[in-house]
Amino acid sequence: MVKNRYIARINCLQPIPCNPCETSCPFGAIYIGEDITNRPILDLEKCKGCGICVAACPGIAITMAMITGDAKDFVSIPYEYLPLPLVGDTVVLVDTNGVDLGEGLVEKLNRPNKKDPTTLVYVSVDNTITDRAVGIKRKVASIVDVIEVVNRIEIVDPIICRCEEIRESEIIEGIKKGDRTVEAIKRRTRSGMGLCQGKTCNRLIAGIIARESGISVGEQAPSSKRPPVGVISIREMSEE
Amino acid sequence: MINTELLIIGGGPAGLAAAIAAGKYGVKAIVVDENPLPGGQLFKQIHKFFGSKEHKAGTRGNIIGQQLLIEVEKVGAQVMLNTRAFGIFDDNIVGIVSGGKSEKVVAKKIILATGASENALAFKGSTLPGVMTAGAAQTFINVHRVLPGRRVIMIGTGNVGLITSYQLMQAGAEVVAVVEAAPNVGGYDVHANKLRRAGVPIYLGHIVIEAFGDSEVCGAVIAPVDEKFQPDLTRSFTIECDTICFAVGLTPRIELAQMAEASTTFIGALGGHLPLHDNRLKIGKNIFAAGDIAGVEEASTAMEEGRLAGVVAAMDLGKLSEDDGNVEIELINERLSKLRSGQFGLKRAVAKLEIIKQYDELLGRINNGEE
Amino acid sequence: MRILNHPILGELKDMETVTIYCDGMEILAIRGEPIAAALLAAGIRTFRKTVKTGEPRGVYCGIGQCNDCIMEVNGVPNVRTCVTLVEEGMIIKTQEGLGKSGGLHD
Repeated sequence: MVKNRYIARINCLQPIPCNPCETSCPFGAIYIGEDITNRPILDLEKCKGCGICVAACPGIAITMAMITGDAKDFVSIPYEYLPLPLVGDTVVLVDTNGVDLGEGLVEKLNRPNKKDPTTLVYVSVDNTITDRAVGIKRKVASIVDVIEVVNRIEIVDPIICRCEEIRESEIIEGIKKGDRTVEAIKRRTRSGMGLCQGKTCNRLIAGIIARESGISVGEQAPSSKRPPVGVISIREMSEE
Repeated sequence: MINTELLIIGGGPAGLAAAIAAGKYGVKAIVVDENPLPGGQLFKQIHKFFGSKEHKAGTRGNIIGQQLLIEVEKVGAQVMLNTRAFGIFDDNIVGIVSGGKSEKVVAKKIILATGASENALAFKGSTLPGVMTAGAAQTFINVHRVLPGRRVIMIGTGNVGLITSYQLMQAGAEVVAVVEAAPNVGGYDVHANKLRRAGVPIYLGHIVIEAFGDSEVCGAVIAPVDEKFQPDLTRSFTIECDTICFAVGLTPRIELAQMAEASTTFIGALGGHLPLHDNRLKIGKNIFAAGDIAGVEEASTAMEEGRLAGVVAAMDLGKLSEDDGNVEIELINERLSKLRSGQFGLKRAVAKLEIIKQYDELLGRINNGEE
Repeated sequence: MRILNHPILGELKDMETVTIYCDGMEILAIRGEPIAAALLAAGIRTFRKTVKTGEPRGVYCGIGQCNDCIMEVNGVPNVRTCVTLVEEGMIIKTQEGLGKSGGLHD
């Protein structure tokens, strides 16, 4: 095991087409190869712990660790929130699921790529959590207040066409009367004839037709389009 | 009336990349965009892009946007902002409205790069102020630097939902819940893990069934769903929030392609109804579709498609030889196939081939006099 | 609330301000921003009341597509506030239905 120097730890889980870790490493320590969906392979001997790949990774999926053999190890974690922890601050380390692992002491901050704001926070941690410590808890953590469990809900007829205020029941009414296209519903209810010209509701209406009639959205013809696309005042149109 | 060799409709990543690619071979393009600022949705994407070096991977979207604008200026393309292309008519005529007046543009070649629009959801209270698309929230925090709210519920775990949630926290908001109807996260694990590390609960197999509040949203009722997505109301619960965001996919903006009489097909993996195009993105004799209008992907593929359309337009206009053009096209296609690889990208690669196949079949029928 | 400091985008500085008025209230806006951004920064979230039911609406798509954020601006109704930039002295009103102060068709 490599001791007493920082080594990258790559937590890249899926075959995403991406290779900045490989191309950013000044020491050639990371290999992905021609097929950029390959998962990165780290050469522990070549890795110098510079942190450049940590700051380059779009997935924020690389951290670093230094194993000392003593009670305290060190980890280096990219952090992109404000406020940034300061040297000497105590921070809470978390695992990949956000579970608290305990506290650590901030030893150093660094920006490996001076042109990019991603900051690496170097923290001394208890050696029992070194392997799992991949995140620093945000100062203001998200708190969920599940305020009540409710049974009172009735599903209420929601607005589908936001512009013309057409409700779902009106669309369903049209389908019952034989409408099978967004166009037919439009002619019956005015849905899609407001200022946005159906940009928001057409897809919803197609979904309701599919649900109620069994004709999938793909089988329905898209609604016809004529000029103008979007809102244009009569004056604009008439002035040349 | 304006005469131009190349009119590009939409000044997002695809449109700007097309203007640059064509401009390098001496084509002076006009780019029209209905927005007051160029760049489409690039400037709100302040995260680092995936891909490899030639895709500018590791660079943040907003920085790529700045680089594109510099290159657009360098090649001398004219970008007309606050300008809406409202219709396409016969003989390559496009109607635009700009500065309170309408005008005809006659273009030898037209590239449609109109992008996509965000899908909506409808439930009780879904029209309350504070309920908005994820893209709206992202625009306000990253472009206008204003928080639309402090406690946000995100609906949808595609990359847009995951990335926007992360960026809301970077902007100082709290994401109190991410709600996903499907049993698993739709986007990349690395994006989801950013949220998990921040302690954001991701409710898989759940939907929002109501947003409540008198004049603004104050909270949401959430319920688990069965495999047919039917909610179990007996297990519903409420979470307080002041903002609810929809990140439930995008639909290509194909109106202008329809007006240009392009044939359309429906491909769910690419966002819905789209115009058929050949292997050079042509949807008609003198008209191309590039970027999300030709299938919803992401900004890196949109830029490559824009380049492809720009290069082919330059070839068609006689500014670039067939041989040199084909070399360019091959390089672009190589970069595109890299972006469309892996478990996420392969579906899109297959779907794009399906569009081309359907186009070729249609062309075959037309040539045989069947249509 | 404005995001004055941002971990990626840095500090907001050297902002030039303009004064706009919303339903009579004076609001300090930043030159170059859309009306909707200035109003959200000032804590205003209801931009209009709908025609049929009078229910409140605000920002929905934020990029000029949905037209939900329309207001009366300098006497002109149906102005998309998410893509209309602020100007010194702008008079903005919550739009009731189709709007009061101007004709429907300009």
